Amino acid sequence: MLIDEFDFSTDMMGGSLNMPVEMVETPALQMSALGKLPLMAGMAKLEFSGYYSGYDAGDIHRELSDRIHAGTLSYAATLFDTTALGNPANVLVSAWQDNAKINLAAKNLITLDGSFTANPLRSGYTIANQLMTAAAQTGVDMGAAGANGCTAYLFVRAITGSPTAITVQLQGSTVVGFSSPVTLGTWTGFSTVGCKVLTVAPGTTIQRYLRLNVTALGGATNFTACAIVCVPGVTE
Amino acid sequence: MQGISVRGNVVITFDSLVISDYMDDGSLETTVEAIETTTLASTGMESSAGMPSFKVPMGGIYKKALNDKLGVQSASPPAALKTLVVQIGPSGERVTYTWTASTTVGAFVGDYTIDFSDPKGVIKWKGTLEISGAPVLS
Repeated sequence: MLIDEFDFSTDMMGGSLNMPVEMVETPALQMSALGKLPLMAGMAKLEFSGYYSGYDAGDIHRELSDRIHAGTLSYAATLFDTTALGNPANVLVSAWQDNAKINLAAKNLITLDGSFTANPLRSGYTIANQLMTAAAQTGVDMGAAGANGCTAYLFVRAITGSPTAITVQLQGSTVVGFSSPVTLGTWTGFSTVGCKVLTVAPGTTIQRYLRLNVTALGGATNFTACAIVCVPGVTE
Repeated sequence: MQGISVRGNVVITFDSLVISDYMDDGSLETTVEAIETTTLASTGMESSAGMPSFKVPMGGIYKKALNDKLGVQSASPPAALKTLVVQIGPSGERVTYTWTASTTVGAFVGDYTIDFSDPKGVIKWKGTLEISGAPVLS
């Protein structure tokens, strides 16, 4: 589970991601049973339980509290089955923590409960989740090509060295070997951790196979990041 | 009277995916609305049967193939209703509910939750298929 540049998975004991759908009833005089139709995706909610680990910068309670008190919106992501790339992941865009509780039972550890809520919720696949240097990363099979652009979220968690301008391309290919890769978009010249968003324009063909290509480290030695790509008609 | 086990005797197909392959729990629920028709002349509460309404709450073990159907359709609900077939019982003791997709009949994902609350367990899912219209029973 990622909140902006933080991976709080080792502080979490569990949670759930709820994706409701708003619907409307459509009763009609000649229908023999109630009619219903889906309207739109509802407000998604990410609930979690975790362990209190202190109040330093980077500790879960500190980071979540700072965001509540400052009214700061976050990118929250959940990655499922991280044993391999190409598995589903969800991103809550412009999420805010709508609930926080510190549990103080006498015969237990100090634990935290909370939830983030947001709309929209984006659905995608994880195409990278590793330490990266200047090179093309492993390609991932999205299962099908898309025809209407995509949105890619690069959650940069750590940067080693003295970065001034890291550049990463999102590349697509019609074949698994990336013999003639197409650059769909570029995260250009970033030097800080956090969630970086890349939008590939609607109407653009998104090839079936996708990968990251780190073209410049810009003073960094390496960086650790996760990339989630949401392709309309394919992953959402 | 000998009962019929659930295992191996329930097949649920939604939008061409055999959902039951990913389920460990579920039900087919029919609710008939009660319309109160009590009048001043009534000696007691009176009601009449209204429209039946159907839904399928379910849950099971999370798999990518299941998420590619339910997760995608909950994040981006399609405009069209989908065909749903619920087959209950072995041959000879079988009932099949079929909602063939049309503009007014069919099913859609009404709710979908990925549950990772047990760090010592497996990722699970739960959701509800909301259903529009009446089934054909066979």
